[in-house]
Amino acid sequence: MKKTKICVSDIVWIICFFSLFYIPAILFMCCRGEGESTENRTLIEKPVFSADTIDEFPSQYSAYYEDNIPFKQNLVFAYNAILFKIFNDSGVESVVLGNDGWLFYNSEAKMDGSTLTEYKRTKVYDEEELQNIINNTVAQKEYIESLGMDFVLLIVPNKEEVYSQYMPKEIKRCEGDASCDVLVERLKNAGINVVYPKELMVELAENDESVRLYRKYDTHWNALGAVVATQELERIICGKPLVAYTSYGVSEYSNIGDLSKMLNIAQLLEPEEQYIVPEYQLNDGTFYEKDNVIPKKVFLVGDSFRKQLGPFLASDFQNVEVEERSALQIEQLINSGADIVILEYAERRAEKMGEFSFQR
Amino acid sequence: MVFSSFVFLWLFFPIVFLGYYLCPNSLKNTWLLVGSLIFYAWGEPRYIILMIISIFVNYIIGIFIGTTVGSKKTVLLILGLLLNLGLLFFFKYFTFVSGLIIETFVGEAENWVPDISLPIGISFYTLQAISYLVDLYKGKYPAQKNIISLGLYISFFPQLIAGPIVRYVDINYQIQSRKYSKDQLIEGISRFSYGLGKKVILANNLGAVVDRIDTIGLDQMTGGMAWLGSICFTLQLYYDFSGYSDMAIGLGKMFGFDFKENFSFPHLSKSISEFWRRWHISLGSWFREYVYIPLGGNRKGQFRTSINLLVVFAITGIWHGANITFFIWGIFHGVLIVLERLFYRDTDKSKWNNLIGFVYAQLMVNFGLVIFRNDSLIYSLKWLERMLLPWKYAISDYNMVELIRNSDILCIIVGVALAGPLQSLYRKINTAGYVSILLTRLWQFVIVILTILILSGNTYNPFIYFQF
Repeated sequence: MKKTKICVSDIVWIICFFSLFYIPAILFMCCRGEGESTENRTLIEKPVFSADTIDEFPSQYSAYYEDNIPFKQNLVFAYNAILFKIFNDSGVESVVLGNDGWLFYNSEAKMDGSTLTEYKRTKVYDEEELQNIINNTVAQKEYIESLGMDFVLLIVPNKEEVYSQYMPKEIKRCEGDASCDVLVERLKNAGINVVYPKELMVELAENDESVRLYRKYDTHWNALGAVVATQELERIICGKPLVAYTSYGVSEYSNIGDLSKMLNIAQLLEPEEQYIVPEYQLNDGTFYEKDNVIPKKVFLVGDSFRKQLGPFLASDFQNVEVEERSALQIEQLINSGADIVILEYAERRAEKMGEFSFQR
Repeated sequence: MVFSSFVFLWLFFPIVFLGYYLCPNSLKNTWLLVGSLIFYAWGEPRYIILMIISIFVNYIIGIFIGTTVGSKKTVLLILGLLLNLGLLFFFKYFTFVSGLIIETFVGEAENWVPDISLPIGISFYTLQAISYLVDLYKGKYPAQKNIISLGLYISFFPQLIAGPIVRYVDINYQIQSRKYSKDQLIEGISRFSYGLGKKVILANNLGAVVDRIDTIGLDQMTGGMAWLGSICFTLQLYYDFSGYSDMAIGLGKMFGFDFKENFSFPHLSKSISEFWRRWHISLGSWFREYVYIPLGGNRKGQFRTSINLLVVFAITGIWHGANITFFIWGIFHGVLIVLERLFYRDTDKSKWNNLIGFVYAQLMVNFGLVIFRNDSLIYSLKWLERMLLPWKYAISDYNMVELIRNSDILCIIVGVALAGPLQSLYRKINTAGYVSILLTRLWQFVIVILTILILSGNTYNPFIYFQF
């Protein structure tokens, strides 16, 4: 009797084991590539075999196969969920798990600027790099002024700086100045109007934890963060802020953010409040018009942070035009007739300011 | 192609395995040979020609050796050795040696030295081919007249790229005729599952810790980090290599072959001599049979034995790679073994002697692997300096916990436990019962599931913004 049992279990075991290899192989043939990818990249296409591609074909096919394995999203979710729930580890190198459920961006892992090195205070600009950024920014300022417009530089602080209290304690923060503080100081000394609301944001974040300026699961600021930046811009442009962040309420709750999407475990995270933004729907190039506000035309050139900032500027300034930095055409800027040009940069990409030009 | 990839697990293996059991017996070897050549070509399409040439050359020389006598037979053997070693030298060592020569006599070598990529598995299949010719020369078996059989021996995919190094004398009967059983298949499944788990769950994660420590650079490396890195690398190498051997042995069993064991808990060793009886056994026995004994072994006195050992370990070192660090690593082990032969006998089984021997052996293996891992000897020595003088290197911009994830800590604990201690305990528990078998299989199933999840995670490469 016992022998029969073991034989049955042997057969069952053999079937179970091989099913782990044969079922996916069969599924690959019938449902490869199904399901939405959260990788934000173009998946590898199936390579064509030919004599010319014989050297590359195996690696290309392997990459294609790995991109299209059946139920990839579910498998990756399970893997990241195990790491997250059991070990409190991040399954994606570029996402750092902070305290109290906060997620942060390790931009160095994607060669996408400096977040962790800046936070650790190990990022240091050498004199040549500083001078290059300053010289180029001064040149951009002079060019804008030659068009009869004012120039303001807005540097959006890294979330890791503003909410450093939620950064994991394991990540050592060394003594020394933040490289961006040094850069801002030098830019100001060179005559650039710089808005870098780090100190104010840190103060707000520390004093009133109920008011959140950055999204927990996203690299970006939320509506309130954008309001604070708007206030600082208005302080520079017209001497006093108009908008008040306290007037904005919660519109909805969401656990979707660029970091939680990268981690692919958004559904495991507690939804956080999203703040109401002004009535304006932003599309790049949209021209906002309003009376009874600051009678100036503003042209905002920036990165993804511009999307939250644009509507608030539009609520206070008469005309606001917004464009993404890499899509900017100089004619667009010249024809806008703007009084003020705001060049916005995320802190993590501040060193790229040395390469930017309005006149591409 | 590597075993721990989806293309192998979910495409190549299912097709080859199914085809193998659907094939009539007369075509099974041909099917495996075709599969092995595709497996090889997948990693190195251009060098498939080299593999085919190697099979043909060894087949023809083997036929001639088998039908010739006297000095002609010796000449043929020498010719075979020269061809096999010549190919190995050209592809593995030519760039390194010519670079050394040019740097010594001319100066800058970068523009002069050709960049020859290393054909996958050449170090392994060359040794297999040599063992075939030498044993054939010694008359241990007749020449293989079926080129499919010889081709399968040289190129059989489970052991092609990382061993074990199989000697023809051990496998020629299996190539001709194999018996299949359910028990062998189940044993193969078990070995393959454990090997896959060793490689993907342990070795890869431990390797990531070492890489993180290495990436911060020596300037930031504290003594503790240097120790952590070296311990993780020691475990990584063991699980990587023994995991690959387990997978090879497991796959072999699934196809009806029985390969000899390649590892026997080397990190339980109490001397370096014992370590080499437990570590990469197939390589050690190959060098003993085809280098050490022909050099005279231990039959020509203490001095000559010591020289022979040093020669064997120097070659063993350089076999691992064309770099001075591998040579130094080999010599380091050779010197330790010579010293052990002269001054240390591991016959004293007292508790203290065992403990001292264990600590000594593990430390030496660990120190040696620091040299083994790094391309530069200076870098290795600086790494070792941090391990030996940790108080001089206590300041860093990094916390050690920054470089190691919680799951890595579990990997290290499990890695240490599975390197021998746990199995010693496990042997004392009765594992023959039905429940025990069931639990073991459940455990193996979980291991395979986990490896699939980890491999999926490794294929996931998200970007914050859309990358075109």
